[in-house]
Amino acid sequence: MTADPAIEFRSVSFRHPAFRSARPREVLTGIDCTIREGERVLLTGPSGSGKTTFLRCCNGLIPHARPGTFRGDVFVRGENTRDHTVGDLATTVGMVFQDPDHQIFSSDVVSEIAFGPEQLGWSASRIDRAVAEILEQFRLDHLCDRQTTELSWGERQRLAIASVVVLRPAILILDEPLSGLDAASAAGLLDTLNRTSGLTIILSEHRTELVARWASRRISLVDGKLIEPSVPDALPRDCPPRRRARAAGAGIVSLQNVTFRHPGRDPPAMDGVSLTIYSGEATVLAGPNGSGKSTLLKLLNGLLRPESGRITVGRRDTRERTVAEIARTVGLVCQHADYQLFGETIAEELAFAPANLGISPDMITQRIEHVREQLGIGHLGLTVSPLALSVGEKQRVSIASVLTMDTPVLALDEPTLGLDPVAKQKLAGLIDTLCSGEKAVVIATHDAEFSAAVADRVVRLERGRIVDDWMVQEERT
Amino acid sequence: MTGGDGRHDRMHAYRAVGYIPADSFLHRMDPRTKLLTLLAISIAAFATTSPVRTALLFAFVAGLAAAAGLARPLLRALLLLLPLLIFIVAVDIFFPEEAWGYVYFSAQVGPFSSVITSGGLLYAAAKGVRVLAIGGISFLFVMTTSYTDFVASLRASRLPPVIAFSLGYALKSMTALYDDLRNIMDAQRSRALEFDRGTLVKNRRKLMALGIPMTVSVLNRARYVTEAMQSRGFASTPRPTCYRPPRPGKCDVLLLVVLCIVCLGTATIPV
Repeated sequence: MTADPAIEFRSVSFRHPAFRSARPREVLTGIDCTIREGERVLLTGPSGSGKTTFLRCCNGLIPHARPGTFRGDVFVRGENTRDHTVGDLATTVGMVFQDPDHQIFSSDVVSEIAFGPEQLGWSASRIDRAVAEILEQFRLDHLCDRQTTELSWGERQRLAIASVVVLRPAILILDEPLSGLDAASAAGLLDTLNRTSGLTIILSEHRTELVARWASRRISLVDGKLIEPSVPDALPRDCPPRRRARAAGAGIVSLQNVTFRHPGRDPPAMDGVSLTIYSGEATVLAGPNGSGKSTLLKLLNGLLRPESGRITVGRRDTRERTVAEIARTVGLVCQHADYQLFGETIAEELAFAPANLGISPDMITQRIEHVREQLGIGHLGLTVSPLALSVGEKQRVSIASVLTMDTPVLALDEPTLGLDPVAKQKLAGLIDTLCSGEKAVVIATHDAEFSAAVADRVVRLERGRIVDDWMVQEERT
Repeated sequence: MTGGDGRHDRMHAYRAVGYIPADSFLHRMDPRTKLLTLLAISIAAFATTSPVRTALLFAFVAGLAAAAGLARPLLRALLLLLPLLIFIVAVDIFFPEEAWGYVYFSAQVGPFSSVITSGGLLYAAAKGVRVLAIGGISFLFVMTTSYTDFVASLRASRLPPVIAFSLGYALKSMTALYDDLRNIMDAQRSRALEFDRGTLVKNRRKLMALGIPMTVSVLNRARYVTEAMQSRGFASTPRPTCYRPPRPGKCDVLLLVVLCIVCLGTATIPV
């Protein structure tokens, strides 16, 4: 027997207003789709293909909260979203956004979870019970007295989902909920969702290897059009396996017994770490959320200075050099592209860093062309504003804007966030090329498949200490 | 040396303006009591031009900070007011609204006449201490009041939810802005931008490299938070529940009593 429709799209098209769009075209084009009760749908597609827009149509944020031209109808359990406010639909459709920091706004964990029930006018005793249940279900009970700003990324992600599920919606929409989570945290999260019986779930995700077996159905968006593969298990691998491990060159950056503590926090984020980064080697920093991967990258390029121990970049102590001087050797791509991009055009953004280094305009032009080709962002053009791009496109422009510095060491903090499989493959190929050209690449990532595709060496961190450091010697399969 | 230490201190000062999680008596108080204290101190400070009276108000603020274990963060935060303090005191020394007593200096500077008197110096000192008293009590309020407690207190006072959340979000943004600023500076310094050399005003690119991502971040966050709130039923019922409303305790009563004594003392103390 066929289950009732949970969500129906009927000839849905959407176009962003001209001032908000990099490319004046429809983000969604004539979407017809029915998602039935109890289905677990995996939504995939390249960066900028319209996945987030599709999800926002499911709970009425489009057309009610987002400007743009919306055509067609979306029905949630038979109700047209045009006829109901987003708040009215909150008890039926729960929406979890891509970045938990964009969703969590309360100071403490309990207040965040209680926000939804408060808005629906539940009694205090009912809220008490609901909060206690959801804390236990999402294994957050040990965090109930904590400030939300003190939580790790994985804990914030769980809190964001818990604060939506507490309303017991029949349909749950999740926009890339596994990005930034290590494999164990991602598996734990999916396990928690599995235990929430009867939910219809639509989940958008690039890291398909984590959810392929979990999903009962897979749909894809390509250029705003819906494509529905019939076999959910037949997912391609995101990145091809690397051919061989390289022999490492000379040491470029060296950490000797480095300890670092964030102001006012205990224990140390980096605890007696010794490590040498070699040219011609791709080093992956692995480890759970909060293990110190991002801190280590910031120590490499001098944004953080060690409390004790010594870091040398090109044989000079980082304490004797400014960040700008170290940036000539170590280029760091930070985790959030939005914190970096500001140029009026992509060309301006890509020229910014090499111009700071005093490189000639001709050379900058050459580097920009080279990097655009390497990262596959030529189709975006040079005159488009980087602020109008999708998350994945911004991420690639952000990486490109550091690559144009042509530094001997490239440090990447979660570079695959928001990247689709094709973009990841391009990035893996680029890292391979850089290492073949005697550059050193250090990558902090939770993406196990990407890590397997690029790593010559894996350094595993836990609680600010290196617990494992091994070379990839054999041909990968 | 890189000069990084000095910058580190300045960044600490920016951080001190935000909420500091702790369990002091000020943290446990009803935000409305603290808001009332802030208003009373501000009004009392504006109502007097006596350096003794404004010094009494500032001493009360400093005493509160010390009792709550926040003396050092408050001092760091007050350092941010130093440029404003110097500007106000300098203007009031050379061009005082009140000039009386012994004349130390008198000159015509273009269309302006400048006179430094003993009375003018006292007046300038009072204005300076006023800035410290009002700035200090405002910083203490921000440091000890969480967004959630503030919103709950406003809602418990029957303020419409939209206004309560808007005011609360403004308070929260003070902390969020610091985090954004730090992350954006890290991202741009990683691309060899040197904030330590020259001045921001002289370099348009430095301003843009900070200003545009900050603006985008603020606008995006506001938009995302609005969507997240709507998606969780915000404004779907006319009377949402106020879960865990703040309840005034003994400390609140005690503070109000001390506040009354200080305000009365300020009004009656001989100048």
